[in-house]
Amino acid sequence: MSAPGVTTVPVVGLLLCGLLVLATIVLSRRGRLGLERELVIGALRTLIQLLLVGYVLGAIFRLDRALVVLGVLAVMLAVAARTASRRVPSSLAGIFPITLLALTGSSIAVLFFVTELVLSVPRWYEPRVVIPLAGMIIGNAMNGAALAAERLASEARARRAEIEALLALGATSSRASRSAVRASLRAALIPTVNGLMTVGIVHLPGVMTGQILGGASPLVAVRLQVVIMYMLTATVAFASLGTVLLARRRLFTPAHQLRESP
Amino acid sequence: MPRFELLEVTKLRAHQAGGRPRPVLLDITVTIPDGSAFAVTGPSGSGKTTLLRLLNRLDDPSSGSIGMDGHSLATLSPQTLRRRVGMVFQVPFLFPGTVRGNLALARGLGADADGAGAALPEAAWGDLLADVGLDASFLDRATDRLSLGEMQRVSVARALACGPEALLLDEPTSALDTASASRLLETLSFLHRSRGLTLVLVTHDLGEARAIATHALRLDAGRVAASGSAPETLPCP
Repeated sequence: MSAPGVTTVPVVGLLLCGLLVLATIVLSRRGRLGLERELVIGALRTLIQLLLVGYVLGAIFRLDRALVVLGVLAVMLAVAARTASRRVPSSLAGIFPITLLALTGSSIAVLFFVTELVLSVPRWYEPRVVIPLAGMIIGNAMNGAALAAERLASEARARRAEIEALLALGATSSRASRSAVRASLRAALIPTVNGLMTVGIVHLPGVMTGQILGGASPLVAVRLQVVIMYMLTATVAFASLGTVLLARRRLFTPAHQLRESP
Repeated sequence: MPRFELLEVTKLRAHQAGGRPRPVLLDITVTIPDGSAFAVTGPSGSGKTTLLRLLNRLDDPSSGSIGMDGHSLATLSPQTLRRRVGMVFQVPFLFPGTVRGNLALARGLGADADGAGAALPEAAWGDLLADVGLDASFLDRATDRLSLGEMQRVSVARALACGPEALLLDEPTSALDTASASRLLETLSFLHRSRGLTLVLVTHDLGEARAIATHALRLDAGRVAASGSAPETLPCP
């Protein structure tokens, strides 16, 4: 069963599409790229993971319960916060509670701003809207937080002389780390700002492409895409700001001393 | 009110951050008299810089205490303490912009500390530069156009702009050429004599210590090897 206008892929088409991966594998073999194994595993994983997600989403949509949606959000946030907290330098080791708090605060605020005020969905937990939007929001928040935290730790290391010079002149730790914080936020936001500049020219974003393939008129698709771009901009800003402000305290002692980076 | 000691260090013990078990400083007890030029000498790795950083609480000891004017350092706000006890680092760090901008920043940071009242007014900055051996035209020089010796002088002036009672200097001449080093030393000696400023000078150079110090501490492997008046403490060659 499919809605009118929706482009569906027949099973034969799906199999045929596998030929494209096969061609790539042949190319890898001929060119001795050594990627055949990874390509086979990657292609299979794509198929299996997405099929699973398809079933899970289907089940969630059929259940149509607020509690289930909240559970999905909680799992997404936990996994994203863990991922963002794992790739930071050792001076910020153990910042999972910080990334969890920053991601949850920023994502939930932006998500419900969009669903309630911008899209005015009739039910606050509408799974077909909330879950895909939450996926995008939390994914971007995760990347922003990880970039910002990584940069904060490296700025604190690189700017040690500057920070200690400021502390020695009587600056508080927040004053002394101001330029490190600023640099971290800029680093986290630059990919998003670049996206705002080039969207539609360099790439057509997935949601818009999906809507057009699904039969929507381009102008309708564009509207939703604008909402998404703005939404993700704020998400990245809030998530990285929250992460940096909370993580900064890990770099200093309560007596405004810059901790030794191990 | 005359004071006899400015900083009183009692049974100080410190460990390297990162948790090496051997202490860097072991049971250091020493008095830094008010108005003295106090040299801290010893071979490298003997704990000189570690001790200096404890005096304005850029680091904290593992045990023992430091008192200033009879009050434990821990009872002062770190900001107030650091403006009363200024610090000049081995490698000068100046903020981008002009010399004036650096002095203004030092004055402005007084707003974070209760000890802001002592900060020098802008009208006194010309005299301040003269005291560190730079003429007033340096106020509007860009900091990235200065020589290393000039940068170190500006960082001394910047620390003085906070109106400190004591200045901690971590091998301030070691990054400089011989001529700039001896001129900086003369400047420090002048500041000590003319302003009655207490200096705590970390140096591995005994000649430098003898040239300026009234009192001294010799450290060896984190312990006090000798301390007291400079002539007794610093052996002649």
